[in-house]
Amino acid sequence: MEGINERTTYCRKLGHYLAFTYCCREAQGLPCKKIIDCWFESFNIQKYLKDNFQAHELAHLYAPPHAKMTTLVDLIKQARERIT
Amino acid sequence: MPTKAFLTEDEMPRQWYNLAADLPSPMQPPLGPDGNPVSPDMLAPVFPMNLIEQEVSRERWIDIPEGILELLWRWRPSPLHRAYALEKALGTPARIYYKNESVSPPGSHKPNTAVAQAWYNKEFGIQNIVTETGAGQWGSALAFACSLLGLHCKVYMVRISFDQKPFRKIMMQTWGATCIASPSNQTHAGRDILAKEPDTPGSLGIAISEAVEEAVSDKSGKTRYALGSVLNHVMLHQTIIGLEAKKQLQKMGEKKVNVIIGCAGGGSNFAGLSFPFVNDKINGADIDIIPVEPFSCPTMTKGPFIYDHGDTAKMTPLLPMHSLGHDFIPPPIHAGGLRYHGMAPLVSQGIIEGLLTPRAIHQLECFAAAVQFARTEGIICAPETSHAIAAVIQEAKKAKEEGKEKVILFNMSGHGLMDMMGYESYFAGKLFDYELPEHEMGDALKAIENLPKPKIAKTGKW
Repeated sequence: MEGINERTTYCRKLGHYLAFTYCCREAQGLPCKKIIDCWFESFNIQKYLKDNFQAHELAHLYAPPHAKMTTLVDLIKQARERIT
Repeated sequence: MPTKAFLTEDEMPRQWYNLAADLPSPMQPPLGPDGNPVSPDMLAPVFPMNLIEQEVSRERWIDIPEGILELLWRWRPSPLHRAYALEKALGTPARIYYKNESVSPPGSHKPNTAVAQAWYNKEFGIQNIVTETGAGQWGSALAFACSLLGLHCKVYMVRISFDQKPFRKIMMQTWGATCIASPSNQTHAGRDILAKEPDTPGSLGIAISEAVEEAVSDKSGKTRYALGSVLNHVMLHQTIIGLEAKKQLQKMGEKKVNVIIGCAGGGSNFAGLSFPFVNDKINGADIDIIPVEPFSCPTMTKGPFIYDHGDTAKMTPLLPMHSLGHDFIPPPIHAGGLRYHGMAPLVSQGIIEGLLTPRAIHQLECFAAAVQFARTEGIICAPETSHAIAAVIQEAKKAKEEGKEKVILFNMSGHGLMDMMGYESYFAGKLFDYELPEHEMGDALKAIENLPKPKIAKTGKW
């Protein structure tokens, strides 16, 4: 997997090209939730993740996606908790 | 021979089309984190009630207020082009048309909803609108819209995009918006992240948290949040694209369209062009309607449809969505925030019903198509738009092989003049199509075979 860090892909979240290194730390220092979706056809991303991260650091990758509305309601709740 | 069809302002559609009214299998209501349906009052801290009403509306046609029409007239109706030069280069009997949404001041389809959302916010008494952006397409569209209405706009732009895409940031500032790199020290959410990871490149999730927090924490009640994709009211506002296109095709003498194509990220530009034609298909028209996505991150085409739950206690059933396989069963984890959700539910339901036929295309083919389009039609398209053009070329070649005079319509959703890095990499030979060997792909998919499957609401007509 030589040269992986230099590989770039179009990030569907941000709308521009980014290096693989960003994907590995997008989620507050941990891999982006979509890292497997975006790279699984390029190389053995799951092996890469297992070799480079602890299992608990990858748990969020396997949580199901939420509907946008669900996320928004959750974010409103979190914001209220932060500001009170 | 006419190369473009225009509409006058008077001929512009006076209503948006709401596909939610006509989907053969009704949409399930969105669920909150507690598993109960989201009620309008739960969204009131971030959206004005007039937009929330649109979000949940099942009315087929919704009037476009005169005040919004007057703002849209700055650049709408957008022209419908006949792509004669591309047709000639391909030697196809197909007649190719494209709706040119790159003519808006920010250069994309995004202002169609930005203007509408800003107007509804102002009607509701809101003075400040806050949002998040990545590369800046949405942020610049909202900045433009707010400038037309005298509203203050604040955009949290993901730090890595803020650094890599300076021109979009300057566009926002030119229209009077405040553009802040996220995470910032202006919110609790931003400060918490910076304390843990000072050199973080940021993420869309953090930027959304900051924007929502700013809306929620304004005690004056004069601040709301705006979103540029995925939600139903966003799809609704974009349908003006397809409704205009229908009238323009008639002006060009076309009685029938065979293929509708749009690129699909969050789904809004695709929905905008296609939904009025989906209505025709529901009512018996024979049309291929194709959302196109990158092969490198396929969410509509390769992902088996799995149903899952928001937490391990399985108390929070979620809407079924397309997802890719993973090689082990999810470990225990509770639902939290900061999750990106890819595709608009209305588009997803259209795929489930068989009304839409998604397609994924490799990036090299997309860039080759974009370059061919630029060298024939003259417009340098946005990277996302190149997916649609590549599918158009595939369909035009197919029409040639079949000897059929098909009518193909696609959405030229935006120009790429602010996004030339991809072209630079393409010309420098730095882009590659990667593909996992079939047996490894099979292993990954096999691992999820036994995961619970969703109960799919589908009529089976298409």
